[in-house]
Amino acid sequence: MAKSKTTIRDERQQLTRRALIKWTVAAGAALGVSRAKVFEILEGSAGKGLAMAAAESPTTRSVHIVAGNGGLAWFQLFWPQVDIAKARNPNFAWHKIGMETDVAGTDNPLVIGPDTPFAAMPGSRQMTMFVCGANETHTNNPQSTVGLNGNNIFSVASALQASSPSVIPIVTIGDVDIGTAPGAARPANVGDGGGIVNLFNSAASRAGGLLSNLADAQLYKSHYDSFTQLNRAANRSTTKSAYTTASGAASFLGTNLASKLQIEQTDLDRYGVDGNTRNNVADIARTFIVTVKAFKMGLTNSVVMPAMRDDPHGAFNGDVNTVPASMKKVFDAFMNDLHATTDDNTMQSLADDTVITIHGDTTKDPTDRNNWPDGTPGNTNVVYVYSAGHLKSGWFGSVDRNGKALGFGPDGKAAPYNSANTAKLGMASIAYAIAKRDERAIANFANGIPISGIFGRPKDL
Amino acid sequence: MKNFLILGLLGVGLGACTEDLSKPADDTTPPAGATSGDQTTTFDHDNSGISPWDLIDRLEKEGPPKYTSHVHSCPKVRVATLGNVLTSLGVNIGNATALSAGDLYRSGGNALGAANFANRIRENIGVSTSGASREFDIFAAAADEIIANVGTLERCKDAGGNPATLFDTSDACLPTGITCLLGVPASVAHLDFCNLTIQNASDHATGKRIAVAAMLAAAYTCE
Repeated sequence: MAKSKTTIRDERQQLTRRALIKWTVAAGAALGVSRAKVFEILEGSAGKGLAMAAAESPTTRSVHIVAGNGGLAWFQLFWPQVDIAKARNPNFAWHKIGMETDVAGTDNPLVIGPDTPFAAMPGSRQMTMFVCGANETHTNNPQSTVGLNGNNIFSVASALQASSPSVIPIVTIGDVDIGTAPGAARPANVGDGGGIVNLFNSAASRAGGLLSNLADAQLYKSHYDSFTQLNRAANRSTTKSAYTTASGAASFLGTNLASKLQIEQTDLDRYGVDGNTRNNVADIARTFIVTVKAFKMGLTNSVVMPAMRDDPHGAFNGDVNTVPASMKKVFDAFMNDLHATTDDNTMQSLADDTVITIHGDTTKDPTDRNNWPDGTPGNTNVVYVYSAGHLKSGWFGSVDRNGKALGFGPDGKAAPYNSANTAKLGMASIAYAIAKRDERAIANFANGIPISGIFGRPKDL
Repeated sequence: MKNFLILGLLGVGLGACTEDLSKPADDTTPPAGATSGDQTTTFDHDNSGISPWDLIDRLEKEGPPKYTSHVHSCPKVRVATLGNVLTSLGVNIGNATALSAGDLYRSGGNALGAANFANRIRENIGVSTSGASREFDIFAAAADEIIANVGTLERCKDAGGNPATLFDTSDACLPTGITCLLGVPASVAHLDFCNLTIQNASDHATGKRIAVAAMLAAAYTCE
């Protein structure tokens, strides 16, 4: 059959869908345009469908929760040791006896209960737990569960995320310590979650700043646009994207982001925060609320926050009936927000681009709820990870009903417990998840520890 | 002989096709979305993208990509270059006062996309929102210093060694000062926009700072 004129023309001009992608990417490379810019060009010229394929960010964002001074113990009630929950022993530190449920589809065993957040997620997206590091009871900044070959995993995350520029790369709250790592950004510290709001106001837009007056800010933006139009090359196809970005930045400069990041009552309602919510749970909620908004706008890549710090020895006297449920609401709302929020830069759901890690000083003894002792079987500790599907789900290492602790080896299989080696493997896995399965990206920190196929899912080729 | 005849016919045919392409009689491209189908159709494709005729028109005006990418690209101003520009404009980039131009410049490496040598990441060369907003923030914070120092800046003196002046006593923009800021001769439009900025701001002092900040931001959006 003879080809139509349109087909012939398309073939001659190499303007097929595939050719357009190739041309755009090649032009982007020639111009030194970032991937995000290439994505914008693709979106503008060929639609979102095409652009989505090219839009993926090289690293995830991350939220690191440091539940010091016994605070980590609460998370044992979210994700209990499998054998502990299944033992149904009323003396064990599991508050929902007989209500434990195996999660289907996980790589390793995982049991949850009625108070466990993220319960509706598929098995492959469920939490990953590393029994690793050492018990560091009553410290706020545990070290054994954050170290990776002399580097701190929070700083490692920041170093990895350096390939995704943001206004403030990493935000720390309170006195959390992020240590060091080569290439890590210096953190911006605020007193609490609400304080993050003020970080993202430009100097010019703050009170007393040049553009603190809205009319002046609008004047600046409009006159910036006018002045750029006097640049001869400003309307060239090859510069249009950069000038569009810069024009947005001119608008951003005069925008007081307090209104966009502000915690609203509707946010608190969604997170289940009311007058009965404990302050330490509400603090987590407030930080989560601002974090989602900041992630959406690409303002930061990482937030490191303290949590709980309430040393709950007496939790089984009644608090287990209220606190875990309250925390579940907060964590579920956070995950719902991540799912429902699209990253302004990548146009992807934040839930696909965010890693959450939970560290602490001690989980407290899972085999004894009576005054919930600080000691742990084998002096173990645990790190909980939401990896957005980059790591295998379920438990690596275990504590059983007899109080026997097992770690895991480089092959991911059960092995005698070694606090340093398990922590190293766990932290390398977190780095792997943040680097989106790129083992070369984490090589500087992991020193060749293989993660792909063992703790992490192989990179899609 | 037969082969020559076939070649001749092919030549005539190709010539006709070429003429069709160069002189489209009418727009035969279906409207956007008209060719979208679903996976069960045999020709499901998106035709809502760029028009090839627009592209050809652009190529005629601007030249091919391999040319325009050399002469019309817009890489961001390098961090070191920005420091040099600020210094040449009389800004103290060592100023440690919080939220001063120097403080914003020295603490803004990541936002500006500076090289991260320890992590083997080169300096970002694309204009990003974070980088541009930080750069513009620095210019906004530096406006006061620049206005105060223009009269003493070496780069602003003319061939006779006369200093430039940004504003006259009635707060009107002057070409010597604007030329100094931009690095190219100020046009009438530059002066007009500059004066409009001053007149429309909340007050003249603020307007002068905004004018300086906006002109510098526009002039240094690209390296």
